[in-house]
Amino acid sequence: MQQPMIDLIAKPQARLTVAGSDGRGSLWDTVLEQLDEVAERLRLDPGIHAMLRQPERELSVAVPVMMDDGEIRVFTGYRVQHSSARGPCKGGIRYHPDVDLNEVRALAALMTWKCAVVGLPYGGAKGGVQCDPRQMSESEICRLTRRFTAMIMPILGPKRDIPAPDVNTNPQVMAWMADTVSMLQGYAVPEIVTGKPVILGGSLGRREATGRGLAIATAEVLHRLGRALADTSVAVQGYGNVGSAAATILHEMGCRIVALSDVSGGIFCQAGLDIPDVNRHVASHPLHLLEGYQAPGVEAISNEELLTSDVDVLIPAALEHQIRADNAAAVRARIIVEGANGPTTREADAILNDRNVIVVPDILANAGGVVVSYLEWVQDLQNYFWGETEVNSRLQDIMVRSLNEVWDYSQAHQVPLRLGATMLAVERVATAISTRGLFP
Amino acid sequence: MTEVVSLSNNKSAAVHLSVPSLQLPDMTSAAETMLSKALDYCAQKVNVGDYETIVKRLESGDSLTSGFFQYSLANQLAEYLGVLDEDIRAVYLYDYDATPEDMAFAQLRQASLIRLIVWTRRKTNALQALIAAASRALSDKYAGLVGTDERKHVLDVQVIDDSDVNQRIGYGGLLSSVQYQPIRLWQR
Repeated sequence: MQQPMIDLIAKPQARLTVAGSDGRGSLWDTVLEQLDEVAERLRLDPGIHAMLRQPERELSVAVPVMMDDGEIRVFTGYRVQHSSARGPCKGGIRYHPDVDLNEVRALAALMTWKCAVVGLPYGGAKGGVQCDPRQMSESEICRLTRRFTAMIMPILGPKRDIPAPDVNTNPQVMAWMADTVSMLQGYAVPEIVTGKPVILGGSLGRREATGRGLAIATAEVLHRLGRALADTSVAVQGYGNVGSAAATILHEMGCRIVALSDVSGGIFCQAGLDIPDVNRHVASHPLHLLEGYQAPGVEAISNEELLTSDVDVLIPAALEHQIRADNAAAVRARIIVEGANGPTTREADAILNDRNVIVVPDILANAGGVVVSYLEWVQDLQNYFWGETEVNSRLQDIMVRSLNEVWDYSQAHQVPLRLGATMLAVERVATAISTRGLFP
Repeated sequence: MTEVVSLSNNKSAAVHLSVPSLQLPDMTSAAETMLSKALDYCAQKVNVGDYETIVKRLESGDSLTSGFFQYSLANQLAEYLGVLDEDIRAVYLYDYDATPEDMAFAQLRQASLIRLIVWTRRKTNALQALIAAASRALSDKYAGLVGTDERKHVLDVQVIDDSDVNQRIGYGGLLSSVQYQPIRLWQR
């Protein structure tokens, strides 16, 4: 990351007003505020700052779909590419009734930072269609997906923009997207999307990737602090896809997982939970919940009690805004590794920082998913597929390297990891822009 | 089956006696109707004519069929609660995992609870009793439908009030979330 920064520093600052931000208090405004703050700290070139304040390309499409009853309905869809400075754009496609352009813009920008912070050769993108897939049959969703794909296809491509699943889309939707592009191209293009079923070129290890990445990041922080995994107690909030994988892998690494929770409540065992036994219980529960788990030494706790339990590491891996100003002071963990997106509010972050609690930010901690998406794309491009061990090993390398880069950068700039991660990401994108130069 | 909620030792409900009817409606027959309509909805969405096949798919945990079934139940229940409790502002349906992309992978793997967020002007014991009764009735009827004596817990309802929403506390924060915006099923 020692790219020439000469053009990016020591330039006069300018406050920028950019068309496209309608100022309605959206996530997009928040993203711009964060960018402005970082730009000021980095003394970013105003021209590059202006470029990053606007998505590179936005496509809005009206997607007509023949519904099962013969009626034609027209859905609005978007694909926004925030930046391709570091490589092809990467980001999910969501189906939701409330999708709008500002939301998609913001999420695209966040993907730019996320890919940059873990050093992937990607820019950021996001897409969405305003629809409620729960009111649509599978064949209607298939037709919507195919038509939407065809309409945004001019800006897609394995070297341009590679979608992935997001809210209310899944590997099946990715399969339909890949098939649509392949049919229109006349040859198979599985590398057009990631998050595909394994049979179509998806990667082994993808489902556990975010949880595994979290576990790797946790272990590396402990390593940096000189702490032994066996002496470390961990609480995990959320026992879904990510939380359960993180807990299981940390348990395998030797950590003592003392507290878990899901929507049905929490469980605590000072001596450490028997995670394989917990997993057997969850697998046999009709709705895959912790509810009803019993074992010697295990007591029931609430979600709130889990957050403030006496542990070394807390992994919030469920909902946003779980650690807030009203409970941050009561958090006893000295290390928080953010599995969920935005589990810590800005106010809580300041409190935790004052208390010297180490917070590994979501942009870094939960990047394991996009890392394995990248590995899927690499495998598709080379038409050679790795075993799960190799995928996990490469994920390990990237997460460890990224954690250490953010750690060192933050120490060098004397900022918390969250700010350091965003600064490093923006700096990398800005450096790519300045190194490439402006066309023409 | 009619359930009567006792308001003894219930200060908040005793103060606000204008809110839900203390005499809960016949939840059992309401649950039967909801299940029946949910089967109809499923049959239409997965294009299967007979209920037997739908029920078999539900028994096997087929995520697509379960998703439609649960969505229909959630919609009906949302409207039911909204009509019975005049303090309810809106009812939402949500899923969760740590990231949206991971939610996509988890959905393939398992059937889940019907997760509702009920936004009410004030939290009352009467509303909790109404929800508990609905949950019991739906669980009983669902167990009967899929041919098991085991009463399956099918519903998870989080009740939030204006303060939770305004201060973004707990599930109240989800309503303004971008990453996990719940789907609004009903609003006053």
